[in-house]
Amino acid sequence: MIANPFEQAIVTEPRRVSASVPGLNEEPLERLLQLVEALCGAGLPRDARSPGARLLVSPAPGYGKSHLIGRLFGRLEGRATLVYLRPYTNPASCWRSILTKTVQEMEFPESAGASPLEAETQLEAFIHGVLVRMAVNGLRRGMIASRDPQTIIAYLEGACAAELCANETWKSLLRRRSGDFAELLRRQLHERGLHLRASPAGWLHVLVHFAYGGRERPELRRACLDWLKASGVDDEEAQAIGLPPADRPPWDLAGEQAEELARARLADLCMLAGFFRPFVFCFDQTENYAATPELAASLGLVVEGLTAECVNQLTLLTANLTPWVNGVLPHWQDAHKDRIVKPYLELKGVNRGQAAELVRLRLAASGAPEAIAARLVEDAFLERFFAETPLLNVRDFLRRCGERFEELARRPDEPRRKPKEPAVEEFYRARLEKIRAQPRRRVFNPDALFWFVKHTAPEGCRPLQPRSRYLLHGWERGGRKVYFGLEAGHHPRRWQAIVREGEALNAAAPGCKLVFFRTPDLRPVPGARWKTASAIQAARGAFLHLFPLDPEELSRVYAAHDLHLDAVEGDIPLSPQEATAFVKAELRPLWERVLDPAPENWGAPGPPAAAEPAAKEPGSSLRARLRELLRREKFLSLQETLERLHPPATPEEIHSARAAIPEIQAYDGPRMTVFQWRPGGKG
Amino acid sequence: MASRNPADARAAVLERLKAAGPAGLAKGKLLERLGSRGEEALKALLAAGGVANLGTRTRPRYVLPEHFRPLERACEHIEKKALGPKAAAEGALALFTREELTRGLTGEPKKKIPEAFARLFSEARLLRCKRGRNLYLIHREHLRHLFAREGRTEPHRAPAPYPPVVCEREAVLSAYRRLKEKSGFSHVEIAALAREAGCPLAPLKEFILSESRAGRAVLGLGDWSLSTEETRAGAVELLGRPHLLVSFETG
Repeated sequence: MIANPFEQAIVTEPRRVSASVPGLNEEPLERLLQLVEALCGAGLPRDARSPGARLLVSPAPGYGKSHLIGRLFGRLEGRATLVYLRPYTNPASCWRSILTKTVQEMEFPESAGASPLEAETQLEAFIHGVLVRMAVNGLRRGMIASRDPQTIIAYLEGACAAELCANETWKSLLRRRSGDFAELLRRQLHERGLHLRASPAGWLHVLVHFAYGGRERPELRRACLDWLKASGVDDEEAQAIGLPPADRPPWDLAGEQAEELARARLADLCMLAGFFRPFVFCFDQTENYAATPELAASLGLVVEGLTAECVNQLTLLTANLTPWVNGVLPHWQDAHKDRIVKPYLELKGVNRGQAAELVRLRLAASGAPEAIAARLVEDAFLERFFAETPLLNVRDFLRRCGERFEELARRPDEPRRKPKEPAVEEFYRARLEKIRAQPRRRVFNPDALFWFVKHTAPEGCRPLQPRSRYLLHGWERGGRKVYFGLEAGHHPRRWQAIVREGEALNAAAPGCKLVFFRTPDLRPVPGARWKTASAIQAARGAFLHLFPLDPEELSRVYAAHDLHLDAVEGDIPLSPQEATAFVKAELRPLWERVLDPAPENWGAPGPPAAAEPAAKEPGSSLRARLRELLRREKFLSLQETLERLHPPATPEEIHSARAAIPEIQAYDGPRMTVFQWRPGGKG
Repeated sequence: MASRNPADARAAVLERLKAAGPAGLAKGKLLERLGSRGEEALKALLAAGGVANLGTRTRPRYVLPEHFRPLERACEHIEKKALGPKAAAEGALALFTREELTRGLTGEPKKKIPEAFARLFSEARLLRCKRGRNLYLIHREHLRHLFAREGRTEPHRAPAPYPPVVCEREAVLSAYRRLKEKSGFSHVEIAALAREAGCPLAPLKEFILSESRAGRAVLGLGDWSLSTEETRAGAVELLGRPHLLVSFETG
């Protein structure tokens, strides 16, 4: 098999971009790097304010927006906290969505290839950076009394996170003198005219507990994450962390209050970033915000809020010109439009020299036969295009190269085949494989789940709009009502209130049910020590359907959402309607289970979970075997890899193992997934 | 009854303008019974270039983009005045001043008065007569009638349609600069460029293709599915695909 090196023409995961051509879109990239550099001035804590958000615009899909973001992320590793934001779907919860994704992104290492169980996560790096620099700043300026400040400063500045984690003196100091450190934090920010919305003591306790205190009790570490996401925290756990009562979010927050809290938390995170690295918030696939005027207008509000209230951050929006001008901007207020700085950053196509270099790079990486390679880069082939235009759309050029490659690789006796457009199933399959390979994507994603609930229900369902702070949407089928909620939090009283609301709904319309999706990263409900556990378990046997989505089901739902997003963006030759029709059929079996009215089929409630589930790491022996196989073979499809591995492994296990091996690059083509051995390559 | 659906309001606005043709409609008539949805739809259409305003901000006159031809409107107005009944009353030729011929022009056509006179002079449709410091104007049709000794009171024929014109490079580039400055984007819609430059689409497309081959223009695909019929009319075929946008090297 000669794999077509031009098949992968769409970047779907910016942290995994292939090598780029020198000079191509260098100007916007360098400009963005300069803008981030400008946020990293001297003097801590920084309060660098951007003049506004930046817009990276492309004349059409295929000019390399996501590729450029990937290059930007690569160049900014270790210099900024990077947050890649796929479109949110519910304008009423936009700030919660952005905050959740920000914290979720920070729970993973910067590099896509690194495993979160082995490498330092962005959140750990952030916390260490904030604590150490706050202490160093305090020592330098005499805010902390010490007999030998220089030695301590030298130690703190030289110590890595793991070293500090193991340093009992440092940890004990932070715990014993937490009040003094909180005051130190407050004073340093105050001197810059900055004030955290939550108390400095609350922040300090959460950061210290997450970094140093939670390993013995992992549930407290997860409670810290809940707090960072502006979710409710159990009183007992809040007590154990040391959260002051005023910093404990009320369990019964209404939508608008929850939004306000999420916005404040994000502003605080950005403020604390003044001790460490700036944030880069990257809103990609913005065509999807044109779905409704409310959604488009909410993006304007978000941009306004981020630029007005959040310091130490760069907001970057990417857009294709026509959908942006026709679908998004008309719904923005003038004041919001003014938050985008001109001149805009614009992408350009490839010129002749860059096109030749791009072909060479792709061919060199694929190990294609010399004869084919030589004919592909010959002048006549390139001349056909560049006699007509100075610049070409990169994706369009790669597609033409792919067709040419197929033609050249065809044996003389083989009949000429008309190039076939991949079917919708193949596009879906490619996205499914990609998500299976990315642990960072398989987490609670309220936007994809909200889209799933609202837009993929089978025919014959009538929509319901519940008036509730816990329920977002509903469907009625065959006279039975099914309501949906998305709860990532773990507060017993909130779950108790959900049960009460379910009881009331069930009394009014017997046979109705409440569905809450549970993803593997969420904590089990009810919690082990909850007093309300028995009432919740009883509700699970009557009307409360806690629907666990296993990693495979989650991948299917998220792949369906990706297919929809890509169709809207114009990345695939499918209309959003065609994508949705396919997705509805594909997810029909899942929906039948979701709508199942019989509680006995929902999974029998067992005893309350005693311990938090531990994250599963792909076996090191599988990793070693996979590494050896790819090192030897250089280029294999997923199917071939499955056939050659002994003892056998599932596709998901292979993807998980592959994600932890930086030398293996995966290409998710529309027809197949291919692994390539790239020593010295970067994920 | 006010339209509830923005798509319905948009369709109603476009339908009314289509029916109104080149004469267009005033705002009140255009948005009659469409309510706030109509206002929003009109605003969005104006922003997207689906509707154009030939009038002024305070007295708008909305037309579909294909009827947004301010230069041609100005030329027609001037010629109509120069050929009107006053021009040949009582068996004598009347001479007109510039002011007399442009009286009544408002909005976008008014802005095109200098270009309109330049065009009419260059095509010899309007002739200049001078007495002292005063400049008087006369339409060539009157002279032809005079020489042919045709009936002096016979109603005059409408001016002949304008012959195809070639796009002038500088006119196109200056129109491009204006659009770029207004939107902030290097790529502009080809259809919008034609309107701005007052240049018919066919010669403009030829011009763009020749600039592309010379390496001075870059065509962009744009988004066919989200574009209006008017925008699609500007598509330039390149390497087998229709391109809706263009950017120029303007130095």
